[in-house]
Order: sequence, then structure tokens, then C-alpha cells
Amino acid sequence: MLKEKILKINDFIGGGLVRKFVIWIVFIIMLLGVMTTIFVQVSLNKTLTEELHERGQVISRNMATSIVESILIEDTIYVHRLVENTKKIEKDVKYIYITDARGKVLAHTFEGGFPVELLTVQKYLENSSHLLDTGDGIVIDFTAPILDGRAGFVHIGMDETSMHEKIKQTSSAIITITLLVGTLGVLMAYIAGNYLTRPIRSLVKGTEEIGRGNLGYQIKTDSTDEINILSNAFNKMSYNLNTGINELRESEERYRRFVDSISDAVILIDSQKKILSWNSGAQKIFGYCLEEVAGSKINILFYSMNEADNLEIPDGENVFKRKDGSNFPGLISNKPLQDSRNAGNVLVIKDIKEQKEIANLEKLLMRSEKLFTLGKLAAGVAHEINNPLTAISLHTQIMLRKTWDEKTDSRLKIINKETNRAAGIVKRLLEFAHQSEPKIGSVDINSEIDIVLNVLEPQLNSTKITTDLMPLPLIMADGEQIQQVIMNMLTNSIQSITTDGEIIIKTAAKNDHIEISIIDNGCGISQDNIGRVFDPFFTTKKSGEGTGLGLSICYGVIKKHNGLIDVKSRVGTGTTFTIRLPI
Amino acid sequence: MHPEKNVVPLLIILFVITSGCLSNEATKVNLSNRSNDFDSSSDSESLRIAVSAIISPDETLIYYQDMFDYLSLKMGVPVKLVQRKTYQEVNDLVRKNSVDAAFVCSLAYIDGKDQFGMEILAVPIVRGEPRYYSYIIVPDDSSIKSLEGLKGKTFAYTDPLSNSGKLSPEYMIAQLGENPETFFKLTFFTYSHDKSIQAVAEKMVDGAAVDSLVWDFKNATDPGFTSRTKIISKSPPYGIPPLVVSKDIDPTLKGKLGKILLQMHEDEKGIEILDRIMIDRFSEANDSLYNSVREMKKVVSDAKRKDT
Repeated sequence: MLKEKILKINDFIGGGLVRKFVIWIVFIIMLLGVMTTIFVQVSLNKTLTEELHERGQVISRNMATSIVESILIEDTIYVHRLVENTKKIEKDVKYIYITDARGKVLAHTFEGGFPVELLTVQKYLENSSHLLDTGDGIVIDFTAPILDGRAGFVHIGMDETSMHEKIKQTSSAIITITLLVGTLGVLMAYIAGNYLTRPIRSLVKGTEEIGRGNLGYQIKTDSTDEINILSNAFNKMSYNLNTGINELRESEERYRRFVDSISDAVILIDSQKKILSWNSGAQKIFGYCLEEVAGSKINILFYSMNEADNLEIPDGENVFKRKDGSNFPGLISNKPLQDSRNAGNVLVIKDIKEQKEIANLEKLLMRSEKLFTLGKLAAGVAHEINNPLTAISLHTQIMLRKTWDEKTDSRLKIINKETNRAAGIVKRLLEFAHQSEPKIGSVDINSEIDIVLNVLEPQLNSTKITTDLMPLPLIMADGEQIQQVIMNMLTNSIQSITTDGEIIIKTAAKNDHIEISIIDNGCGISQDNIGRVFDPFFTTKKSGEGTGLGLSICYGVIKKHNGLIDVKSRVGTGTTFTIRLPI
Repeated sequence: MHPEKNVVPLLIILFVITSGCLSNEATKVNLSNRSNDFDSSSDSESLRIAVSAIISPDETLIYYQDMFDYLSLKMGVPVKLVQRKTYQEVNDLVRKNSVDAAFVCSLAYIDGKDQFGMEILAVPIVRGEPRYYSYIIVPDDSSIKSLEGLKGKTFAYTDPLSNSGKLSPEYMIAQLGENPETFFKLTFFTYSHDKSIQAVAEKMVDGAAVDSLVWDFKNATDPGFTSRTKIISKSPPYGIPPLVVSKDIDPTLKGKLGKILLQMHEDEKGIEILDRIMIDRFSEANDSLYNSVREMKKVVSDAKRKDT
């Protein structure tokens, strides 16, 4: 309570320590002065009043005793002399008068006659002493009976003036001293306050310096007291702070470099999945500055998430979005920062696009090599088989002309048919092996597709083909080969459809290429097989129904055109082939 | 923040402390109205009776207070008790008619009678007779056994006009063939018998001569001092100190006063007062009652004259 009050008063005083110090000292001195003055005044008043009373009583009683005989024998001269002498000798006696038993004044010390009113006042007052206000100061009137009042009364008026004068003098002396001491106190308090607060000020300066970041600031002190201990402690603290902060900075810098040296994106998010910080790897991968994303939800980095989504972030592969809108595949690992508290998570995202592309390239290379080898082999086999087949075919036709035997004729026809089929296979093999260079001319892909659809229409049975062809620029390509590719692909799709199939053909022009998509709702390709669909002789069809060369040839043609062919498929849902050709 | 809140209790404390000093109300009195008209007051209306300081004035006042009140009542006027230090002064008052009556010592009466015709109004009867004695007293433990033993010692007389306290011892000394003026080493006048008793009791003097009436009365009522004294000699009886009047007194007043005194023992209140001061009654007396005193006075003055 008292502490709060003092604090309040200190607030009220305001200003620095010196001011508080001075004001408090002055306040205490003045308080002590006032209290002392009051105490002295009260006790002095009491003591002096008591003394005055005692003296008044003693004088009046003594006089009553010593004067009795003189009164009785009417020795008025003696009585007068005694009265006058007593007044002269005794201090503070304002008057003395003596009355007889009947109240007649026998003697008095008043000059110029006795004040009659004193007698009338006397009649109402019964005590041995009482206060009289004479208009010229307060007088204590003491009455002492002479011979129990039978011979009369002695009245003595004791003057309080000199007593009050004394009290006044003492009080003014104390007040003067208090003021003097107060003034001195102010001076001393000011000097002492200044002296005492000098080290505090330097401490304040020190803390300000540290606050300004000047860690390691040292205070100079020449005192040997507690302030010195404080200063030393401050200096030590400052030094330790400096060392500690430097170490911390180094450590932080080290960790920053360490984290920055990681090429993967290392992202720190809070429990609300907001980005707190990330490394330079993340900046490089996503293209954002940290300032742009700090505070944003992590969702902006995910390809498939909206801003509002609050999904769990699963470990594993995912698709991410860069600042420029492009996306890339990445591997994400999500680890909580601390185990117990929900203090946020550390996400590590690895950009695996390049890796994937390399893998693809490697696959392509392998496939090319395989195709090359196969091509050579096939070319050799085809060439070797072609000659006998030609001979068989020629001779079979000769024999057909000359045979009338029906049975033989039909058998010859079978031979001829199968020979032709074999020749077709060989031809295709040769086509695959030789992959004849495209005859480049300007081609409208949409019209090529129309041509193919016209050719294919009779085979379509129940399969429905929908086209969604956007206007396309003319591109430089071999129209025949492109037709062949689309034909192959459509055939493939048609074959994959069992009942109520639908094929959608879409074309679209992109920035630097055109895109042809062939989407079916057929049986789809299993994940195991999808990587091999472009391999030569890979087929899922029954033996004799397909050669497994169609898609290989398509792949080869598109490659020759510097384009890309891609397949996405899900078993039971369908397959999408996408062809990209440069403009 | 209200700093004045803290000041309020302080002021209250101050007020409580200081108010104690101011609580006594002084009665206002105006001293400017002066008067010198106090002496020569209404005393003219009252009866003035002087009492010689046979006992000290304060004792006298106490002793005679009731009787004076009684007289006052009976006379119908205030009766003022007038005292003087010496017997001579009282005699002078009577002579100048400053008092209407006076209780005087036997010797003072003789002087007054001789000088201006002082008249006896009444005498007290004590133990049946209008007589009293002079006692020579010494301290209780004193080895002195007789008046002779006091020779060369200090001695207290009462008053130059005292019979029992001055004339009687001088007479006794003269009887011894000594000069009363040289018998003692040192003599004092105490101007009242009770003071002489006190002086002996407290061994301020070696001996004193006192009125038997005073010693007996004191011994009976307040033996504080008398018990510390012893009587070593008792004089023959003398005529008791009378109540006298001037010869010029108004006869009516004299008659009235005399009548009251002489009849005092006849009423209850009078008896009560007389009992208290150990007087049987007042009686008329003849001047011859004091002849023995006159004789002594002559002898003593002769003895003194003889030596000088």
C-alpha cells in the first residue's frame, strides 16, 4: 500500500533520480521540522504552563501564609510592601491583589486604581486558578485563601505572554534551523544525487548503447561501491552478450549457409501452414523472394491446392507450382519442427523434374539403341526373307494360272495370301528399320486427321469418334507419315475399346507447338506396360493379331519431326495419347 | 493522483494536537475601569472590637470568630474584629475611640485605666473564677527545674504590656533579688503567648513566660507544642484579662454590649461558643481585681529603678 503510494508520488514528482532525491530529502526534512516544531511547541507549552501554574500556586500560597498576620493586625504598609516586592521579584506576575474575607480589596499592584471588573469576575469563578483574557494577553489568575478564607484571599495574575514569547522564539528558532537545514539539504541532496547518479547515468548510457546494438560496450567506473559491482556486472554482461550474440550470429550464419547450400527447398511453416522462412534453394526452385511468400499459406506452392484448402501435406511425390505458373514434380518430406509442441513444420521439397527428364532421356536413348539394333536385325531378316517370299509369291501366281484343280487352286490362293501377308510384315519391318526420312511440306494437321477418319470410317462399327479441332497453323511435316501415325494411334484405340467406346480427338495450338490428343475410354494400359508401349514388337494382343510395331513406328516418325509423344493411361478408364509437334 | 489526499490526515493530526492547547476558555475581563475607593468603606456602621494579641492574630481570629458572629447577631450590626501587633497599639485604639471595645491584657488595662480611664465592661470566668496565672515553661527535655535555672539563658517575653508574659516573670526575678533586665542573657518579644510556647517547644529559647489560659487551652485543644514544653513555675493568681471600653463610649452601646455578654451563658448558642473557648461565662468585675498586678508593677519598676 505504502509502496504503491510512494510509487504514485514518485510518478507525480517525475523527472530524474536527482530531482526525486532532492524532493524527498526536502520533504523529509520539512516533515521532521514541522513535527519537531509541533512537538516542541506542544511540550513546551505544557511544561511552561505547568511551571507557570506551579509558580503561581506556590507564590500565592506562600503569600497567603506569610501575609496572614499582617492582614489581621491591619499592617497595610507591610502588606503593600510584600505585594509590591513579590511582583517585582517574581517573573511573569502581572498583578497581585488581596481581599479580605468579604471581598474588600486590601492591597493591589495596579497602578492608577484597581480594576473593579476583576472583583465581579471573581465572584463567578470558584477554582483556585482560571484564565482571564485582559485584552492585553491571557492571564492565569490564582487565588489562595488566607486562613481558609477567614482572613481573605491572595490573588495573583500570572502573565502567559512571556511564556508564549518563549515558545514563539523556540519555534521560530526551530523553523529557521529547519529551513537552513532544508536549504543545505537541497544543496547536499543535489550534489549527492548528482554524484550518486553519475555511475547510474553511465549505466543508462551503457544500456542505451547495447539497446542500439553496440554490444560489448564497456562502462568506465572509478567508484568502489555497489555501483562498481553493478558496473562490473554490466560490463561482464555486455561482453558475454557480445560474445554470445556473435557466436549465435556465426552459428546462425553457419546454419543459414548450411541450409542454403541445400539445393532442395527447405521451408519452415507455422502451425497455420504459413510460410515463415525458407532457404535460397527454395527461392531458386519456386522463383519467389522470401518477402513475397512470407506469411502466405504454403498452398500457393502446390499445383493442385487452392488458397483456402487446409489439407494435410503428405510425404512423397507431388506437383508444385512456380511463380511463373509452370509446374514441376517434386518429392516432399514434412517433418514437425518439434515433437511435442505444434511449433510448425519443416518441408523439404526436391525438384525431381530434371531427374525425371534425365530418366526419360535415358529411356529414350536405350530405346533408340534398341530400335537401331532391331532395325538392323529386322532389315537383315526382312531382306533375307523378302527374296524367298518374292520367289514364293511369283511361283505361286504362275501356278495359279496354270492350275484348274480346284483344291490346289484354293490351297495356292492360301499360300499366296499368306505370302502377301508375310510380305506386308516384311515391308513394315523394313519401314520400321529404315524409317525413311520424312518428305517435309506444309501440312494442315486437322485435314490430315479428316483424311484418316474418312479412311477408317468403315471399320468403326459401334465406336464413336468425336473431334474437337481448333484452328491450327500449318506446320512443316510429312503429311503421309503424320496420317500413318494418326491411323496407327486410332487403330490402337479402336482395338482397345470393347463396347460403346468413344474416342475424342483434340487439336490445339500452343506457343511453339501444336498438340494432338487422342482420348479413348478403352481398357487402358497397366502401369507396368505403359513404359513399353513404344517398344517394337511389344503388344498385348494375341499372337498374329498385331506385330507390336505400330506405336514404335509412330514414335519414330514423331521423333523425326522433333516432336514428342506421350501416353497417360489408367486401367479401366482409358488412355490419352498426346502428340506435340513444333510449329 | 491527488497529493492533497495525503495532506488531509496530517492536518487532522495537527489540529488534534494543537486543539488541546486552546481548549481552555479564558474569561474576558476589562481592566480599564479603575477605582481607588476601597479604604474607609462601610466600617462606620459596624461595631469594632479589638483583641490584643494574647494569642497570635490568626489564632485569635479562629478563637473569637464564633463569639464575634454571636455578638454581631445579638447587636444587629456587623462586629469587626480588630487586631494589632502589640498591646500598646490596642490600648491606643481604645484611647482614640477607634474601637468600641477591646479584649486587653491585665497589665494593659492598668496602663489604660491609669492613662485615659479605660473601663472594664466584663471579665471571663474560667473554672469558676476571674483569675489566671503565669507559667514559666521550658522545653520538655530541659534540665532546668526552676526560674533560677534560667539565669543567663535566653528567654521569650510576650509583650511589654503583658502581665503573665512580662510583668509576672520580672516580678518573680525581682523576688529572687535579681535585676529582671540582666537576669537573662537574651530576651525576645514574641507578641503572643502561642508564639512563646512554639519558641520554647522548638528550643529557639530556653524558657518563656506564658498565660495559663492560653497554655491550658492549647494543651487541651492542640497539644502539638505544649506537649513539648513543661511548666517549671506557676505564679500566684492574677485578675483575668478583661473586656474594656473607653470611658467615652456611648452608654447605650455599653449597656447593650455588656448585657449581651453577661447573658451569653444563658442561651444555648452562647453556651456552646463559651464552651468551645473554655470560658464559663462573662461577669462584671471590680477594678480591685487587678490590685495584685498593680503591686507587681510597682515592685518591678522599683527593682529596675534600683539597679539603674
